[in-house]
Amino acid sequence: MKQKADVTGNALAIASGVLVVTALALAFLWAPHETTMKDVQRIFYFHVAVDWVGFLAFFVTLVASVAYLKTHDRKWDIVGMSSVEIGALFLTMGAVSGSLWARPVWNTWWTWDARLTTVAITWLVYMAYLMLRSAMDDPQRRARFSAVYGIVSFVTVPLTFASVFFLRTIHPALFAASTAAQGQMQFETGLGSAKMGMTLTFCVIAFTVVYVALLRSRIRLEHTADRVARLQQELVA
Amino acid sequence: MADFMSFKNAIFLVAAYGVFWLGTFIYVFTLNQRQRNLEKDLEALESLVKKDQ
Repeated sequence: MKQKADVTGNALAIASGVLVVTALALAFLWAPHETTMKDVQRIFYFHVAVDWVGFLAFFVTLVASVAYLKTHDRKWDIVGMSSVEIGALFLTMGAVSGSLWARPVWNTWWTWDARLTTVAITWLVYMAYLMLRSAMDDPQRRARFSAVYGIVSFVTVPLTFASVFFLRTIHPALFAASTAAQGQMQFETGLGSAKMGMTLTFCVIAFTVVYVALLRSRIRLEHTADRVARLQQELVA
Repeated sequence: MADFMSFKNAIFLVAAYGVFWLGTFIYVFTLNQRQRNLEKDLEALESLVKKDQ
């Protein structure tokens, strides 16, 4: 029996593509450049958006983990694991893009300041989730362990977010009071500031749609794998 | 003041956006490949189960 076409998935994929291309156009053609950093600052739009998706993905894992521990329903285990996978990917892209921004601006690829250190810890914690999970054979034990780990590891996310406000860091603080000394970006006009804000908001929305599309695909993949495994067991029995 | 729009810095900008595109493309590609392979396996297994019954 041929699998029916995933209409919703295809629609989400097309929407993601359109939104990301539009976001790219806004970031390069509509948003003004920043006074000091000029066009290198444009990395910020996608960098912030993918980091947002990473943290959102880990929050979804937290919710799915709690749901799994309450219901022991495999679907929540699938959601949690899929979301960590995507979150880890996006956090990696965020870290690499941040490093590419830092090289011309800070004259270094990496520095152990508070924000970067907490991001590195978050990344390691969730990579460990994936590695430990793959080392467990028993599905129930693996799901229980992943759920508990998914809840505990989420503590790294607010820590990373808050690091810029409470610890000494040279990383720009998006929501801090505006002074150049705090790393806040300086715009050429007031309108420039609004355009930057709108571009950033659009990029965040675009990447959120990308996340939803990827999550759906990943969940669908895991459900298909489960069906294959069940049929294999049926044939062996 | 450093010239942030030098060619060298433009490379960083392009590379950063390249990372997003490459990372997303590779992940989507692997997901699609795995889905296709699993669906082939599923079809084969379903026809075997039908034969058995």
